[in-house]
Amino acid sequence: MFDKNKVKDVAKLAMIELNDDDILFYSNEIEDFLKLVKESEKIDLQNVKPLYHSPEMTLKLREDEIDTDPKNDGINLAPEHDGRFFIVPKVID
Amino acid sequence: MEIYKKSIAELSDLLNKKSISSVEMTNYFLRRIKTYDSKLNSFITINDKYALKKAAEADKKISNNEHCLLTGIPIAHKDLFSTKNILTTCGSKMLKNYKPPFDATVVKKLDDIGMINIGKTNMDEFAMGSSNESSYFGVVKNPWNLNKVPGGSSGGSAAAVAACLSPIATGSDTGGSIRQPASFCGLTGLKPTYSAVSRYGMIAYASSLDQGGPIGRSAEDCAILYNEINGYDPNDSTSYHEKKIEKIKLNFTKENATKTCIGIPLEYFSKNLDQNISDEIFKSIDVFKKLGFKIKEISLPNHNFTIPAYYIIASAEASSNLSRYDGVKFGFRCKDPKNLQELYFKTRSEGFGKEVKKRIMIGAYALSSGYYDEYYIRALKIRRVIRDSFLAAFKDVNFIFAPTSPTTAFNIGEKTSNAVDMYLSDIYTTPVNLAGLPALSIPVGYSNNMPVGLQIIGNYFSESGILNIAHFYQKNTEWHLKVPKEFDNE
Repeated sequence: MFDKNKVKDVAKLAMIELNDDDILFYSNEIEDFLKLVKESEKIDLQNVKPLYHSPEMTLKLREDEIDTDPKNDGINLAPEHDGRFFIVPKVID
Repeated sequence: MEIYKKSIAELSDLLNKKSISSVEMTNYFLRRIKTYDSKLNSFITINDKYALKKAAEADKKISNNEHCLLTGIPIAHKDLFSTKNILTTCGSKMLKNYKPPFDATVVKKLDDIGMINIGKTNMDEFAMGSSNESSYFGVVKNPWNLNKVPGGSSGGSAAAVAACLSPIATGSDTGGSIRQPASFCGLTGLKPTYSAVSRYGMIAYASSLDQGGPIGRSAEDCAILYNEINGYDPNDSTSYHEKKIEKIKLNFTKENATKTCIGIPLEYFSKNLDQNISDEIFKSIDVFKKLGFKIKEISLPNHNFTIPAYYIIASAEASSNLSRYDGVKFGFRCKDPKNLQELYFKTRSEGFGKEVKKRIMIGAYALSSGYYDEYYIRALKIRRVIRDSFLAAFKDVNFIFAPTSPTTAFNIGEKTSNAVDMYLSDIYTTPVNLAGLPALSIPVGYSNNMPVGLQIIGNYFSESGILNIAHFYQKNTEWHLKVPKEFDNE
């Protein structure tokens, strides 16, 4: 049973604020989904290894180089910044 | 001249012969968008000025003989492809003002050869949906019947191409988001092999499943676009690098057909499938038979367990990918948060829509301590079972034919209150994503006046074969040439 307390716990993990109506809504929705998941328990998975990526292949890594072009500086997209640092509300009073 | 119905090759020919300039062609499609899109809501952003500037540059390239087949041809990009200094919303309030400082590799490749980005198309929020009803920018309507959904999540791209507002568009396919809307709108849509097309600059939903590809009016148009967007990209470590992907040539013959064996998985034609769709699919299989193909019944066991596995894996990856939206670095920020904690919680609660929040929570739950093995690892094991069943089938047959969707386009609002029913509409497309295989949807008929799609699934990197047999079928049929009545005039 995916009850309201479970919804609250998961919402906290996901950093999402929910009101009472939302909690009831997600409790029902996730419960319905987990019933569907339950049906897949019929499949025998003994000796089956998890598959993370398909097709399976080697990854080609590139050099970790610092891009110094100021035009590519993502800080300009921040909702609040001073050109060098992201600005957030005070963390410690 | 009915330019709106022309294929990419025909449009290119008109440009080469100087029968029309790229500026005139771009203006023509921009006019169609302005005339018709109020009925569809398929675009979020229309790039009038930018497109006309690029079209003038393309005209110069054509005059200087520095062009290729796609130079000067308009294209619409799904709004999850990052476009430098052009709004890229991903259908979300979270990114409603986001203008990326860079282009996605797909966008850059097409821009470099002179394609004209005429606009960004509407989509389900963060590509999470099968009906294009979860967009922050409103529902998209199906050009074949304005009361019905266009499919999702690339519903805007599909609606725009079906109404001939753009000759072709890009889409992305995580669980069917190119093929299902292509099927619902009577189009041809290719989901390439995972890793064939760079994901760099595609806003991430589920990174081990996401793949970009074309939505067009024919296999020929999709092949032309696919040839330009595939290939290794140093900016995407998961992109395929082991050998060069050869350019596709459409040269399939009747003799090739007699040597090609098609598998029909009986499990895909069960009671879940609408009978009219089943009938139309089998009629198209008869056409393939007459064209010389060998047809063989096959079995793909356990595929009915794909939906739970797909939604667990995709949601788990989404919960991780979407953790970047915190109101600090980019995107939406809530007003006047009292502290950092409140900034995170309120930004995410106000910035994400209902479906996105649900999938983030499902993902966070599946990855959480105590449930990780029960849900996430188990789903990854099912993924291997599904993948292995495909590979076993490809020892016997060259390609697999299946329905793209169990129904045709459904009514707007019909499935919004039943999420599980909505998820089940992806039952025939998600196995392909779990296995990372390529697949194409092509139109093969109608059921209650709505288009029906046939899905052609191939082994890894068999895009050339898939597109060749689809093109061979389309040379002998006319389903792909149909245009919805309401949009079938200049």
